[in-house]
Amino acid sequence: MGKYARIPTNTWQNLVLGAGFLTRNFNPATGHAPDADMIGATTGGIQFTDNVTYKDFAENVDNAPKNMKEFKRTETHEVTISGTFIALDPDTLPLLIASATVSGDANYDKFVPNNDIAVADFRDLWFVSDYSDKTGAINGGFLAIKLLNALNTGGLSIKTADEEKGEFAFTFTGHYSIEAQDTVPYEIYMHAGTAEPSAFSITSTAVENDDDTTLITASEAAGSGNKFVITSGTHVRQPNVGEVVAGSGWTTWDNSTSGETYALNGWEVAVAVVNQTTLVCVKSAKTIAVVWEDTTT
Amino acid sequence: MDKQQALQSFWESFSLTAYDETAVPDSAMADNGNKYLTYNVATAALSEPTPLTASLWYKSSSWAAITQKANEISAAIGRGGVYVPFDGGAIWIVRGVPFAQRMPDDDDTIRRIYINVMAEFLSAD
Repeated sequence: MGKYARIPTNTWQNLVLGAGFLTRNFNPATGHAPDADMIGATTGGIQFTDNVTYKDFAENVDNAPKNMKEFKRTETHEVTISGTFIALDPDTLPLLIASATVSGDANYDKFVPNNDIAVADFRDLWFVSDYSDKTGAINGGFLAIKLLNALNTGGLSIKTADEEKGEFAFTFTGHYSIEAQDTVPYEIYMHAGTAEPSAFSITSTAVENDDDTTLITASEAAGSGNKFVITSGTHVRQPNVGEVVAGSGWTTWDNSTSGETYALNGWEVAVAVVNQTTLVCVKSAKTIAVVWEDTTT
Repeated sequence: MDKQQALQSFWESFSLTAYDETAVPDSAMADNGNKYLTYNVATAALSEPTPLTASLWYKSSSWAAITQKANEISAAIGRGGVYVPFDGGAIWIVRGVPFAQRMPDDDDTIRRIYINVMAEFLSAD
């Protein structure tokens, strides 16, 4: 290998992965982006650009070479997030129109473009993407860009094609504010992810020569003050954390992490770890029962 | 851990015995409670994604359990894929298209699901 045919050894830990998405709301302190605030599915990825315009104050000075650092000044940042949506809804369309009056009734939504824009039409938007080698659902890393005072300056574009999904191009431009004239209209947040907490799970194993029993094994013990409860059936509901798990369908498991339970092949089995006193669910898991079958006949 | 060991650790993380598809013992089904997984081994360095495959093998008359397992693997990989580290880099595994296909077998008590993933080997070597 050539001496300089190398890449940084931590390259794989510093990658930005996937297309990311646009959202109205993101909390960089927690990494939480509410589903309800996501703006829409896109195709072809999303592009963020900060086009900086510089002024060379020595441009017309005799004998001064071009691009002297002491004379370079920033004129402005033109900041955009562009891409193409493939879905429209009553919340996304007004963003694409930039400024619209929305009305309607039970039969339809009506969007009338305004001939002028109002300050209220400018909204902060977020672009969020996976980042780093830890991209799990709980502790995943992110690269997040907050575009301040965004407005779609690309106009409304609706493009359809035979046997294809419709496409709706956008270019959201960030804007300065008269109240903060030195604030460049974007911020970037970067957070490397950390390892996910281990998930509670159960597995089902057939018991030899027993066609109505399966051996369930839990990934961890119930813990002090808790116990396992189990249920099985053609369809069972996995309890949510925080809910009381009680009722005739639930039976107490022993205190080990495995035990046999009645089940037929293809049945569902759910196990919950509950507080011994309150029966409040601490964690739960569900699996499909694997039961021995006599395949010799 | 090298790339091959990383692939082994990934495929055996789904509570099934995972075999390199070139080295499956005849007793695999009996040894493993009538279910196991096989996978192909192909590696690369930082470049285009490499297609990889795996198969779930269940001895059963029902598709329910094997389908559940395929869905579990799909959910574990998720939309953004998973990183599987090895010494000097990581494998970025994402779901292929199609991801899971049911396959026929001459033995009607065998259920098989064929799984496609794309793997990018993020390392210089």
